Amino acid sequence: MIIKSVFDKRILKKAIWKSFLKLNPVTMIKSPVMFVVLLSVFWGTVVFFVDLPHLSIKEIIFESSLLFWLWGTIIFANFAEAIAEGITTARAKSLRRKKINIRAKRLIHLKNRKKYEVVDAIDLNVDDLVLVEAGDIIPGDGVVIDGIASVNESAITGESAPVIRESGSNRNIVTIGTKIISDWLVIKITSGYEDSFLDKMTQLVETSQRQKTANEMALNDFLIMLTVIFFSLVVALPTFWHYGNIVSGISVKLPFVFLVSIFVCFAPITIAGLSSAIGIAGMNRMIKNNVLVFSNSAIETSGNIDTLLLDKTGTITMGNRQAAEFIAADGVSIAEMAKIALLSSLIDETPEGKSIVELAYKKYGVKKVDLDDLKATFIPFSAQTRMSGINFAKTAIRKGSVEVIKEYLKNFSTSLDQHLEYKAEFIAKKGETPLLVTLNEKVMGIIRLKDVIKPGLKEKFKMMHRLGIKTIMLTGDNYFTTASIAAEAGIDDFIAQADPESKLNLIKKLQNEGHIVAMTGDGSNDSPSLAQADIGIAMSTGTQDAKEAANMIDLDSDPTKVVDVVETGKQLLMTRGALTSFSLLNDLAKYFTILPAIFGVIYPQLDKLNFLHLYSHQSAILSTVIYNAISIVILIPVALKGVYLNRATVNKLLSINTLTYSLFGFFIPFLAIKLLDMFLVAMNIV
Amino acid sequence: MNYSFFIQFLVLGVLVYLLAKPFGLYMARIFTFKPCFIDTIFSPIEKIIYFLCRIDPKEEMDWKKYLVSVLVFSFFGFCVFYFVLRFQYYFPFNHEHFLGFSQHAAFNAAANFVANTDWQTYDGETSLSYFSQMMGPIAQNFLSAATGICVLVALIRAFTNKENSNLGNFWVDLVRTNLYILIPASIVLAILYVSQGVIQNFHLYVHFFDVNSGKESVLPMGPVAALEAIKFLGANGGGFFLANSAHPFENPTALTNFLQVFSLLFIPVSLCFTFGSMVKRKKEGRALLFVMLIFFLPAFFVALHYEYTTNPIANSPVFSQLKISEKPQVAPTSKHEKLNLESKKTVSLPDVIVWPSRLGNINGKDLRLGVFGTTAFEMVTTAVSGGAADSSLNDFNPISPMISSIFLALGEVIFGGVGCGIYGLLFYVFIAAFLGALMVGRSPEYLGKKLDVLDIKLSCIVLIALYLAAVFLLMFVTGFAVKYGHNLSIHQFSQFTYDSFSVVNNNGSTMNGFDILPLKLSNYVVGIVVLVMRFILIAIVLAIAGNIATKKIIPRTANTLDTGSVTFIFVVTAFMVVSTFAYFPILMFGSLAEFLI
Repeated sequence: MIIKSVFDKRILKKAIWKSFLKLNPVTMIKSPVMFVVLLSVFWGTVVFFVDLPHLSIKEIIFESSLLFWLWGTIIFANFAEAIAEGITTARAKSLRRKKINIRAKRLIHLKNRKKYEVVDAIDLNVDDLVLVEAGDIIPGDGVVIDGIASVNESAITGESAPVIRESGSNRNIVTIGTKIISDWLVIKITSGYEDSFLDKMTQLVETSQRQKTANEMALNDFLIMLTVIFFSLVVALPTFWHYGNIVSGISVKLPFVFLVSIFVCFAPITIAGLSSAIGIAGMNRMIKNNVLVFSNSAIETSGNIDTLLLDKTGTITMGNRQAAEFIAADGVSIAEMAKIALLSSLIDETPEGKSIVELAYKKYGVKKVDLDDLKATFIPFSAQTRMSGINFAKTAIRKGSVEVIKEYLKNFSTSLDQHLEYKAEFIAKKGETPLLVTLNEKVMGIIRLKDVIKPGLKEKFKMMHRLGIKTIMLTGDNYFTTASIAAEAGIDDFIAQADPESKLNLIKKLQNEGHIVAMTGDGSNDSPSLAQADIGIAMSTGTQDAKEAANMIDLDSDPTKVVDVVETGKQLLMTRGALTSFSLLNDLAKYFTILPAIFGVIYPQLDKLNFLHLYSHQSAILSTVIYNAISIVILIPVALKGVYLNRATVNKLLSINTLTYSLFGFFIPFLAIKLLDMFLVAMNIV
Repeated sequence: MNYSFFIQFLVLGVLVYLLAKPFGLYMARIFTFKPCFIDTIFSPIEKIIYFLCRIDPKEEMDWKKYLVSVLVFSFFGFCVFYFVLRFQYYFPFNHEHFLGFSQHAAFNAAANFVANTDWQTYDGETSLSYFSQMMGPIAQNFLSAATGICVLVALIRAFTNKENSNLGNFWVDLVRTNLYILIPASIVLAILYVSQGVIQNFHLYVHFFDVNSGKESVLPMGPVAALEAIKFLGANGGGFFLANSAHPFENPTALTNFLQVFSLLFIPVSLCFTFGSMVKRKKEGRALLFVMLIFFLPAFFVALHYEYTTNPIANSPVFSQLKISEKPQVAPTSKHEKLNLESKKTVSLPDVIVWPSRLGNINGKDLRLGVFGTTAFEMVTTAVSGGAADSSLNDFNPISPMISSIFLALGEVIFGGVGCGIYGLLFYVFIAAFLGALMVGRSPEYLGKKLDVLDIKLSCIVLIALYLAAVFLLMFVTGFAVKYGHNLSIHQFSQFTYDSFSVVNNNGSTMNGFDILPLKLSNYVVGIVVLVMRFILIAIVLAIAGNIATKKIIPRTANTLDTGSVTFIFVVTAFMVVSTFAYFPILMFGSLAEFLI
């Protein structure tokens, strides 16, 4: 299900029903502020009914309408929470659906590879036999029991070269989410989808949302403080009222509903009601970004990240090597070389092959070759020969790694040109991959394959820089590879040839210096580091251990997701801050509306404080209470969507946000209460 | 309207700033044990004291130990004070043969002086011997003030600590505060006071024939200058005489009045610089000072403005009623009622109406000190946790006690008491840092230390405690007045408000509203409240210090919230304004209603 808008009808309906269910004091007690408000309004209602026989019709109408809005305030606060929960449930559902999209070919007989049924990966059971062919995604963790194939595990290992997986060796384990590049495999599923990690995570999203984060807890204390303060005020007010009665020689009763109204207007019910909605909304935004988060705290901590460790080059490169250059052998023109290279890869469906074709066309201007005109047979890449190529009537073109071609050349009893071999070695040293192309027995030249930085990454790293996050690349690769990639991607610092232990030590060192460290990783050997880091982000293709050690899982396996994570974390806190300051400053207006109206009965001079010129005491009280109630509803979309994320520097941001929200918080209630007052008067309600 | 006050104000401001800065830095050197120029004189004395008291100056204390030391020391001071007052008859220097205090009076006095509150229910000149004055008020003025400074210093050390729990040694801090700071400064001030006519002697009271009344009168004597110096320097405020600084022997000239205002402000302002210097971020210390000024200056000028105009009570129905019948209809039945009637009667004096255009609201003010002098004194004494008085608060324009009440209600943090002003302000700063951090999407930190849930929780508890204590004390007194009182008035409610706030926030200034309570009851209630409030706050400050001390220092990056910036000052101020407004409903029953009349 796709959630088109916050106010999806089904969610809305459910939320309205739930906001009444939430009036149950047992569930309310989790939020002390709301609980005290509920009790006081309930008590106020009881007192109202007890006093009913002594009240005039006018008083009954007025007090009951006050009570109506006071109950409304609580319902609205509940509604905010209910709708956020509704959206989360819907999101979690859609997440499950997305996951099921992997299809599996379940074999009916081990012997017969032709006969299979296509099922959803979710329906696979342990010990099921599954066939995967070139281009398929492996639908579950399992053991290879038949076949040999090259598998791209770059998403897990970060190594761009495909690995061979075959039965009966120590290379027989395959991991969910990896992709078969050539040939086929029959896999026996070892872990069922039901207890797969993703599934556990989805459940976590739904259940862990109520854990309070440090900031939430502190905010909660702050709200309790305000509640206690205003509660004690209304406890003491009757005594002051009594004293005032004697001083001014009158005897006016202070209706209990008025006391409750004062309390509800000043108690921080807006923030308390919206607080969990804000938290849930933060989680939702993460899910929307395809990031699964274990806990809310992780989101909030991520706002503080100042160092990001990238565990390997593989996470920031495409993971697929791409052709960058053709180098012609001595005595071969570059155009010739380009043409041969193109022919060698014409039907090569691997990303490498495609990139060679593209390079030949675009950079070297090779004329378009029509496949049908060629009358050639293609030799696809196979795990046995580890070469691909094309056969014409007389000539054969082959493409392969240096070792393989060397072996191949032995058939012609020639050997590789020394000069070319040095060149290839040099390329390999830089962390790039040389491929040799041969035309019959002659080596035409080298195709330089290079890891390419994932598109858009550079910009993201730049943004991280602006967010004040230092990026450090930690990798087991050699110095040259690391350096060139780091420079190209715009990474601040790198440490090459790092082993897992040195990663862990670096994190500890950084943390001791007071840095908040995030780390991305996916291998099992990363788990200790992921656990040690303040935020560990595992790639969805990572191993089970890595995922369990991390705080978050990125379903897209994109290390720069950190930017989104950080921004979501910041936005979450900012929304809390904005709403808190907004509603704190809201209180200021209420001092000039509801209080003079209530106290004005005994001290008429207090009417001078009513500079808004609200129509009457009653209209002032009612419009303040109504404003208080509807302000919650109006703020629900803000809470769910989050405030506008300004990317200015911290101190500038403080100025902007503080001024904006406190000014809004200060002026809006004056305006709104005055308008409500005018409306009430116009409608003849008061 | 007289604008000479502006010049006086400028002189005061410039003088405080010029002297406070070097003094603050000097204090920072004292507390960081850096050598300074008077070491040669004081360090031998210091060593002798350590030797005699068996203090190991190298011992470091964590927050619990520090707190226990503070409590033990204060309890000891309390006992000595109590004992001296109870049995002063048997002690020397009792020329007038004063009897010992009753239990409740002694308890109240001891509690108040130990808590740096100095709410007085005794008349110094008719009940305290010179020995008692010296062993009690004068000694405690030094010690309780020093305790406040020590607690602040412990808190500051927590911020500079790198993951260790040591907050310094209370005994060492105490000795150094007194020896290097309070005693030398007091000596200088006392000499200045004596030069202006403040007395300092151990003479018998002088009996003389008063020509005006035609009766024999008594002129009390005593070591006044000694008390006077530390009374203001330590933000104490307990007077030698009942009339406090309105008494010519305590405050003889406009210059001494000026000096008293100055010395009230001196250490609290200096401590802002000490703070900045000790945490190695001068900007942060200045930021605290700015927050104080943002509140103080407008409030001060509003009060001044209204003191230069007519008291609105002159237009009130109460006043016109009284004008018709100058004498009250019913004879006063109790002491309290008499007091009330008197205060109303003073309102009816014609000068309220006659003088306003020229001198302002001079009712209850000594012309010797002037409207500026007395108003400045009142504002500063409530902003700084002074509590002294040189004029009749009950005759001020109602807005002045209202402003003072706000200063009190904020928890005595606008300058505030020595030490306690800043640590009180820091509670607001912590919460503001938390709110500010939320606004920029970060976790809260202050001065390079993370503020965790506990810090925020404790700060909130302080604000709750201040509010609850104030409201319930006020409720108690109001309830008492409703039941037993007579002649209830708005003004009386203002008195209750002012007095409750003053007691709860350890100021000690009074509008005599609590006079309606039986003396014994008021002595015990006030004594208990001041002790509880003072030491709860100290305990919480030290607990926070203990919590913060062990945290690691976070490096400052471009992403760190600058807590010395103008915006942050605004956040703190805005939060304090919002907190102040929680007291607004209470003021609406008292001084605000009185003012709007």
